[in-house]
Amino acid sequence: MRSIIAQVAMTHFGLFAVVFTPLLVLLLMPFARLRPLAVRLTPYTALPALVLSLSVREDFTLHVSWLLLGTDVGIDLVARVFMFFSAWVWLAAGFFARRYVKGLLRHRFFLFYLVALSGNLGVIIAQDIVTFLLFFSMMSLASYALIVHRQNAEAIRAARVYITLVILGEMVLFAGAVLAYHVTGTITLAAMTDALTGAAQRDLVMLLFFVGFGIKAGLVPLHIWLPLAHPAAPTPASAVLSAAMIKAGFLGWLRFLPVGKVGLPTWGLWCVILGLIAAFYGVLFGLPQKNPKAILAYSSISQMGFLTLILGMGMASPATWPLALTALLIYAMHHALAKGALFLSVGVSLEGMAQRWQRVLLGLGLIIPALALAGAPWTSGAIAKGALKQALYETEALQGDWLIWLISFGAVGTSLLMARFLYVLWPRHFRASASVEPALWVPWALVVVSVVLVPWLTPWPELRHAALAASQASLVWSSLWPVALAAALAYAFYHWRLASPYRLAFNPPAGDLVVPVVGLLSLLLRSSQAFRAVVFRKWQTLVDRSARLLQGPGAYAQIVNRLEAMLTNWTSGGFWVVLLGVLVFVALWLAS
Amino acid sequence: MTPSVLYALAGVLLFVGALYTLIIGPELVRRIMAFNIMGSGVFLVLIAFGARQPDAPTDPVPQAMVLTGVVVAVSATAVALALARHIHALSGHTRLPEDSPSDSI
Amino acid sequence: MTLTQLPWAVWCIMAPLLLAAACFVLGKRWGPLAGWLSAPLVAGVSSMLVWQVIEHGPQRYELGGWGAPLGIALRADGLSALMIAMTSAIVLIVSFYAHSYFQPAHGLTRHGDADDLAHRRQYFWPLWLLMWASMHALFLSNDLFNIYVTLEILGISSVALVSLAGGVALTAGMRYLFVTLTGSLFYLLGVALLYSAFGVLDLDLLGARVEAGPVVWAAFALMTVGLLLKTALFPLHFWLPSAHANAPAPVSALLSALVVKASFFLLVRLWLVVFGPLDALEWARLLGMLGSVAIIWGSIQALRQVRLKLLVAYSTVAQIGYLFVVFPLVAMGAPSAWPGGIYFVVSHAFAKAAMFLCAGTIARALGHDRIDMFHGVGKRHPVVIFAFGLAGISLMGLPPSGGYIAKWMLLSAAIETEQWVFMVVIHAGGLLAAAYVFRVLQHAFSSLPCVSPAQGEVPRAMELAPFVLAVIAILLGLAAPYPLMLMEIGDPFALATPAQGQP
Repeated sequence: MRSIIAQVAMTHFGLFAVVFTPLLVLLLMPFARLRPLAVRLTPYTALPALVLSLSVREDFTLHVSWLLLGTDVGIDLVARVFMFFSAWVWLAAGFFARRYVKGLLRHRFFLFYLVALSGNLGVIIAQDIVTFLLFFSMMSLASYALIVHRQNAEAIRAARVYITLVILGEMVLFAGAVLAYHVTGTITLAAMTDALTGAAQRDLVMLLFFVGFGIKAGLVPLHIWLPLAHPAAPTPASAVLSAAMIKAGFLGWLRFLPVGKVGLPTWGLWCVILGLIAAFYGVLFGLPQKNPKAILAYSSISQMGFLTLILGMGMASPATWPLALTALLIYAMHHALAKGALFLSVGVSLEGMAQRWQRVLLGLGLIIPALALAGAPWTSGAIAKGALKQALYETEALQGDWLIWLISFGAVGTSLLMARFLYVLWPRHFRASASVEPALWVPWALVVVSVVLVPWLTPWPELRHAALAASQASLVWSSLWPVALAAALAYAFYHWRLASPYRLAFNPPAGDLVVPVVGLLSLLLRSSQAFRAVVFRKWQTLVDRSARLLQGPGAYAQIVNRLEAMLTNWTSGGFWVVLLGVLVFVALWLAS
Repeated sequence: MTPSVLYALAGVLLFVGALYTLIIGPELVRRIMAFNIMGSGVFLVLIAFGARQPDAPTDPVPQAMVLTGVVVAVSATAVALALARHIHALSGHTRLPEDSPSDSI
Repeated sequence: MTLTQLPWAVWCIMAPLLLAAACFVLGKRWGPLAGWLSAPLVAGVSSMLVWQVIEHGPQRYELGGWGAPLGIALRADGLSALMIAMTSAIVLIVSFYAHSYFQPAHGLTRHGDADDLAHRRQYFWPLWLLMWASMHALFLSNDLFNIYVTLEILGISSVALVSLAGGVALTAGMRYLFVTLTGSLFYLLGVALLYSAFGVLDLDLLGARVEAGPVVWAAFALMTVGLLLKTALFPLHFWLPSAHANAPAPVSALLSALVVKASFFLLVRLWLVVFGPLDALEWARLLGMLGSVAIIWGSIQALRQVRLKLLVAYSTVAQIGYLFVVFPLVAMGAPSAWPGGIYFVVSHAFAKAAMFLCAGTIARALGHDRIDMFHGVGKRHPVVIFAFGLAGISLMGLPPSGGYIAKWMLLSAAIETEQWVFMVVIHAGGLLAAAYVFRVLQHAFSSLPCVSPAQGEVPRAMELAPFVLAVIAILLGLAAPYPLMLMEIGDPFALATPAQGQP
């Protein structure tokens, strides 16, 4: 009995430690002398989450009545898995960043890094609307500072696009939250989704949440910030953005949409279609990119498409939702680890190498996560795709070989994208001056190793069984041929330079849709020059006038000045006292 | 009209008159005297209502209140006079400049 | 006699009173040290009272064993306990600040010679403790006349503390003295009228006997005006900016954070206990209207100020307005506005104390507090600016601060009673607060080189104290239900429910 109590107390404490450890370190930041200590502690702040995700076996929720007028936090399988891979990537990226991020703005980077970390972990344990959205916006707004960190034109542009979409998303989510509360009368997520199943405005609420979180999850066509932000941000920041924070948007879908509680065939079909579109869209636009991080960003869009597809399967048939959810968790974890390793490898590769053994290690470290993402046999990718297909076979609402074929072709696309990535980043030249930084190599190597090991050592029995079953069921052949085909294609492209006509014909800038959208907007604005001038002039006068009213020496300011001088005059003060006395007396008299 | 009401009215009159002086007069000493008279007016009201029924024994509570009030008034006057002396030493006159708050430090 | 049975309410008043006398007697050499050391002591005693109220419910203590009609009673319910907890926490933290503030610093000759400083330090601590004692007495007293005495002690000690700064502060203090004396006399005249009509001074007894009539109206009107004058509700704020802006920084912090709230608390108590049965809808509307104007006018004035301390002082004028919006909301039938208003008092107290301390530290560091010459302060004193920003978050009412919780409760009360005007005003006040807080931050973080020469090192405590206060102002939002539970102990808002208060 006592041990149970002790364990419960530990878990409760642990839940708080998850969110508050980064914030406690954050409190050291204002003190110049403690700042180096805070930076040194930063990576470790993800540790409580990592420990909690591995140690707590029971699901539970906790109602914290004293926090924010009542908060629900809790942990379940979804939270455990998300917390594990998020904390792991944040931990590695933290160590990486300690060495990688230098210069004047180093402390600012870590300040917002901590806020974003706390927000990301808070989202995972949040079980009610308000808490979830609070942590979500904390994370989103803090990552603005991470994206803009380099402060060059590219970073500023990326950050501007990002913040515009984030604020749009916040507005949509807020509207959704208010409407959901209005419709269901509860803010607890589980109860809200239960009540939503039969509500009249279900689809509207779902649409708001779908779009709002879709921005973070890189849903095409709301993905445009992703390929801009990832190359612009410092490497460790892009790693957590792509591995952990994108998934937080996806977690929003899992938590806020009544998936698995009611059959939503239309929604399911749309999700599958959108997912497939994203899967191919990412490949199509990713292949011509020259920046390795842009390629990875497009690959993330494509992979999030596969996740959306699994979500759609769950929506279409609630009966198989547990199976789909397991597949989804395996897939999400696989993608997070592999993508984290790939992003960090960009940072490591660009540092260069001096010796042959370093090239061997570097190449190995590049190939392993790339193969995993491509879904080569015996890798986490193969297991994830196997689990996906298993869930698909059980889903009666979505039958047909066409889907299996499309998914397999998607795998071909992913493999091609990885081939392109390896081609761009492959370590070719030795540099005598290059030195191996253990502070960069060790965290990167740790993530690479986790990519290999975690699928086989999954600490949660539910997932481990599913993973083993998936690895046995999926024939080696079915996971081998897309990779082999892609390898052959890549070789052919490389050998006969087939790629160049494609590149010449189709050379989209990173951020693809941003360019036409922004162009269209500016065209519209330019075409209505006169209109704009009028609006601007009016606006300017308004601003000027109100500024003058408040501060300047203008006529209004004179009035305000004179009025306040009159009010603060002793005699008028006395007058007000008497007048107010009379007024209060009259008011009392009138009332009765 | 019983004497106690008369006293009370006189007290109120003192209060109002002194309040007027307090508001109008810029002289510090005059203001200090004005609030003393205001206080006396209030005390008069209290005392007057202490003996409302001519036959009954006088209520002692108002007397106690007035005694305490006098102590308070004396200490307040002391503080006020000390401040006025300081202001006189600094500026050379015993009236407040109509200080607008946006003056410099 | 165990710890729980001790009359902690009495000790809350006696301890600072005795220690004030001791500091005065100990004189120039040991007085300041004794004063500094007594702050944690008094805070400890207050926390015992709070603990007693939490553990054993509301306390009532009859002084000297004399019963209510003749004797004086102290009453400590959840509301008083919360006020005392707030007062003690803030005074304790500001005491640490004050200790450094009055230490002779290297290279600092702005405040005159060392003798002057020592003189100031000597008299600061007795007055400081006296003010603390009077605030405790005011929150605990259940006797109309006794409250008058506490008001006077509070007023006189505040005036003396303001005048400690010397110079312009003398005239500001003089003005403040007249105002506070006038307010007290208005209040006393009200007390006299009430006593003449009902023959009792105990609040509870009076509440049971009071019935509407011209005498009661007159008494209520006089007391209301007296207390509004002390609370500086628009248009009676004419004395506040100069007094608060010219006092020494720790004193400004306390005046703005606590002293104006004391008279507000009294008004709330009076309405709840004594005048509750009166149908005072028009009265409440009048106060709410003035409060709304105060929010707008105070914020506009804050935006226009050149000096930081004046900006913060005018911000107090604006924030006081929120407190008076509570009355019409309650009178319209939303008693849930009470906890909102009281929570506003608490969160504003911490935020405003932090802001005034920040202003004091910046003034010490730069030698002036002109906002447009703040370039580079953010880089040189990041802790202070960070604290100012945190306190600003609470003033704006952004989540997750205490101000957010308070405004949220006020807003929901406004929605409940369909008072759209107050909703608009509350939002507008938040926007204007954002404007004046950002104006300061913008200058502090400006990349222009710092134009003000450094005036030497600022003591650590002068950076930490505002930081701690600001963090508490934020934590108040995260841990809202505890204070909310504390203030409900003994059901202090019971009489104000419309079921009993309105016909």
